[in-house]
Amino acid sequence: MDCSSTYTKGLLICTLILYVLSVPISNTIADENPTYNKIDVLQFDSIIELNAPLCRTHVVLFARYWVSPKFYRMAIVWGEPHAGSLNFPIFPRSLNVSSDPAAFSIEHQFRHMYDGVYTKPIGERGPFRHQFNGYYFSDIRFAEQDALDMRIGAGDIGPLNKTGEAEAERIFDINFPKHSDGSSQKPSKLSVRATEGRLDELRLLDNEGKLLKSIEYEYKKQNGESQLHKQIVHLPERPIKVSFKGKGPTITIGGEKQQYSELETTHHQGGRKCIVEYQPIEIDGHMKTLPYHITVNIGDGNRVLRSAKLYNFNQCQISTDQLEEAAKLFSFLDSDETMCREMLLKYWLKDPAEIEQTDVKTLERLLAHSADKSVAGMTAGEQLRRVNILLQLDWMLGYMPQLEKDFQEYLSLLVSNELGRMILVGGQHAVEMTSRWGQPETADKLLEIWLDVAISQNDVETVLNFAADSIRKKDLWTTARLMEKVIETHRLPEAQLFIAKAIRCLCLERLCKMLDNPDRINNELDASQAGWVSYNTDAESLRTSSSQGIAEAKQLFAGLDQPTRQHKALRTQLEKINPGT
Amino acid sequence: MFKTFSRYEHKYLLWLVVFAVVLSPMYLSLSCSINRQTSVANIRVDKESNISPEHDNVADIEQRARDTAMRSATRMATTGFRPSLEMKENADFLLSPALLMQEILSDEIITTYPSE
Repeated sequence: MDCSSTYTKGLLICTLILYVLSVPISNTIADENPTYNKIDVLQFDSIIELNAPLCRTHVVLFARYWVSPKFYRMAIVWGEPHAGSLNFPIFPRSLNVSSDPAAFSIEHQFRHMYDGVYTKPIGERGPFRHQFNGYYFSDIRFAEQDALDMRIGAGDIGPLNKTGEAEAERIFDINFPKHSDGSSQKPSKLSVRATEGRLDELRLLDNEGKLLKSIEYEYKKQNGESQLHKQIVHLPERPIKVSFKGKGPTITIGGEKQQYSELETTHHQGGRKCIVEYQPIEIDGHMKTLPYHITVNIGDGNRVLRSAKLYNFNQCQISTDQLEEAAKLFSFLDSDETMCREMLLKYWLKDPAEIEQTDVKTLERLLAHSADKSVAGMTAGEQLRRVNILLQLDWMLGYMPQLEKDFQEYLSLLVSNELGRMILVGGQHAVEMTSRWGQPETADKLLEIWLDVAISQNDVETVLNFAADSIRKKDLWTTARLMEKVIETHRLPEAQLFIAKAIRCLCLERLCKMLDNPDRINNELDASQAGWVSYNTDAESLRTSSSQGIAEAKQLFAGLDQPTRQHKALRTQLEKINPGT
Repeated sequence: MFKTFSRYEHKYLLWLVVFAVVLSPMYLSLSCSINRQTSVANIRVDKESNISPEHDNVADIEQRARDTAMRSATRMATTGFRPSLEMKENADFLLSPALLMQEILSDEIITTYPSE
């Protein structure tokens, strides 16, 4: 008894000692490894539109973000245009980017060239080395570093003028740590304008007093309080050092030759005007003023370069492990999509009759599964992803009535998300893809649907710009039909009517050449286009229609008071086709 | 002074000086426009002819011409970087919503804009 009581006491004491010791140890582990801690995160979705004026492309990305003051993660669930080329450094679907104070990470489900964990500090970007539209996606880590270098702490500007005080302007000298590259692109002075304790304007200047960035703040009275309504940010042109691979060009001036491995060019050519719009948004029963739209324009704001719509705000408490899991679940391909991708690679542009029976059953199962999937609660990106699988399965199986229905759903999704320009780009891709799958009859039906929606959802200028780009990409038949539709449905002023007629004629003429010389067609894209046109008409009819159009276009040109460079270029091209008419 | 001039025996020399002063800027301007072609890495570059005749300092004019030619050559040599800079802006823009939201969520940071 005595023995057992002593044993029990000893056991109790040991347990207590172990417990006392374990508490600080477990706390230390939790502090060192943030995955054990839950963090407050703001989650939101974003639709990002990217225009590249030099490459004449339009891309839309659908992403989800999780953000806390020290951490963020981004996952891309979908990118448009889904069929055809997408101008971005990497196939965007399933791209994950995360950043915390220790590291910046990139992960992709099946393209691993930019995968990596970059420990912080990231270091300097150094001279810019990419050319000809190339860009290593992993270099975006420097964009974060650049942004952090430009951040202004609340302590840097001190207390703003007190309530009731008149407008005040102050200039502060701020001390930023020196950077190893000796770059002057870091702020060293701040000019602050404030009214009644409210920031009205902030100007960031470099050590020579040159403007790096200016931000104007606009407020709106809401419930008696003034809330941030808009930020207007001006970014002037700035020099950027570019570095050549190899020895670089030799420049000879006045007989003196010199080889340059690095030169200076202009970044943000024409300057940038960024507008961030804010609105009160309810999150977990509390109203917060948050940004809902970002637009970046060239110069004074006539041309939109890119924009981001932010929505679906949600506050959550989550550990970084759980967050990683959620991000991958949201953005990575599931088993059905992976299977569909494999099948697409196996049966790309093949006749449905060539598909093996077992694969037909698999494809039908995938089709039924995707069609039955509930769209409730899905984001725009997730819905477009679902429709894309349906379209791919329809093409492979040759289910044309179903394809028509799914194409309509695709366009409706773009309409409901106000992605008018993507209707032009993505819709055209889908129509042409149908013709490439050897379905001219269905392609005709889709073309009619696309024309109606594209014309109703875009202004004439956007349509004409798109057509000018399309003709360069040799999308001739769809572009000619688009021009016919715009002429038929709109009462165009002469300047626009000339462009529409000229582009149409140029498309028809090039198609005529294709039909006249089928032996010279040396790629699958042109062959399918020629096949589709032949299904509808012949070279002679096209030529008659084109000649008449050229005569009309030339007459219109003669009546133009001030022809633009585009007008003159089109006129020259028409002249080459049909001189002297 | 006029009196001194009137007594000067080699007046023609004075006229020569006057002619030289008047004609020299014209000559410089002409010679620069003739020598305006510069070759840059297999590319012939035309210097822009914005050299004002009022500039009477030859070194200054030459320097300006060299700078203009260098700018023109740089513009041509760096053309290939422009589409990549466009791509850089677009790719970097993916981080902007996250970085902007971090600024908003943090009390210690003034909301500016994380320019890409």
